[in-house]
Amino acid sequence: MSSGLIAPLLGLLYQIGQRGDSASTTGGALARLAWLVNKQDAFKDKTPYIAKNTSTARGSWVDVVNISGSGYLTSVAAGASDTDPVGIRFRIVIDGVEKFISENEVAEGMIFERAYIPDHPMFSDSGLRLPALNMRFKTSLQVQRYATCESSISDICVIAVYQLD
Amino acid sequence: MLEQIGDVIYKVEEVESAGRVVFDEATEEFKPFVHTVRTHHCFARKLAIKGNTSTTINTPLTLTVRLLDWEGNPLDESLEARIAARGNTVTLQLENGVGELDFVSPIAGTFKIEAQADRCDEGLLEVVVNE
Repeated sequence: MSSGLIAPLLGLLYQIGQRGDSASTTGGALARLAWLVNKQDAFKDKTPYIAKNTSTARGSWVDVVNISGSGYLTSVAAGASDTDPVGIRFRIVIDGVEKFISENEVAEGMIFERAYIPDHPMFSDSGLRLPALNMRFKTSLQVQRYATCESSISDICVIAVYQLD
Repeated sequence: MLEQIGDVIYKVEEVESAGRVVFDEATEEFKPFVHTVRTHHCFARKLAIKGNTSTTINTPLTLTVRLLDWEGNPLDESLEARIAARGNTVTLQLENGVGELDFVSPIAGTFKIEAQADRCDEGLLEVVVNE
C-alpha cells in the first residue's frame, strides 16, 4: 500500500547516509524504516486486552492492571455476585498521575456500568455495556478497585480493557 | 512469571509492541518495545480451613483455620478472621496463625464455609450435614 512511498524514502535516506558523516544514525533510520515497512500491517491489528480480577478483597485498593508501557485504556467495568449491595470505586493512574478516582458509589454508578460479569464476558447475556474511556497513557497505567460490602462474602469482578502500542 | 510486590503476588507478562521501537545500543538495531503488564495473581497470604467434611445434625464439627503464605507454608502471625456460612458470620482470632471453631447445624444440607481476612485470599471448605 504505502511501500510505493516508503521505497523512495529508503533510497533518499540511503543517499544521505552516503554523504553524511553520521553513518550509524542514518543506518539506524534506515533500519527503522525497513522495520516499519515490514511491520506496517501490524498497526491495523492492535489487539484489545482484558485484565480481569475476581476476589473477595474489600476495604483496600487492589490492582486490576499495572502496566509499564504505552497505549490506551479503553474501558473499565465491575460487577458483584452478591445479594447485598456492593460498592465499587475505581482509581485510574496514568503516567504516574492520578487522573480519576471515584469519591463514592454514586459517582461510580454514574460513570461505570454495574452488572454481573460472568467468567467469560464475551458470552455475557446480562446486557453489560462497557463505557468508552479511550484514555491515552505514554509510560504507565494503573487501574485499581476498592470494594465495600455489608456482608463478609462478596465475589467482586472488575475488568479493564486496554490496548498496547 | 510471578513477582511479589508488597503483600500482592502479580502475574507479569511481557508483550512485544506491534508499532513502537527502541534502539538497542548493543546491537545497533531497532527492536520492538516491550510492555510489562502486571495483573493481580493473588495475595501473599491466604487462609485455609481444615477439618472433616461431614457431620450430622447438632453434632459439633471442629474446624481449624490456618494462615499460610501463598505457596502454602504456615505463617505465625496473629490476625482477625471472619468465618461465614449461609449468611452467618463470626469473628475468629488467629493466634500464631491458628484458630479453631466448632461448626454445628440444626438442619441437614451442604454448607460452604468461608474464611476471610483483610488482604488475604479466602479459605473454603464444604461440609455436608446429614440427618
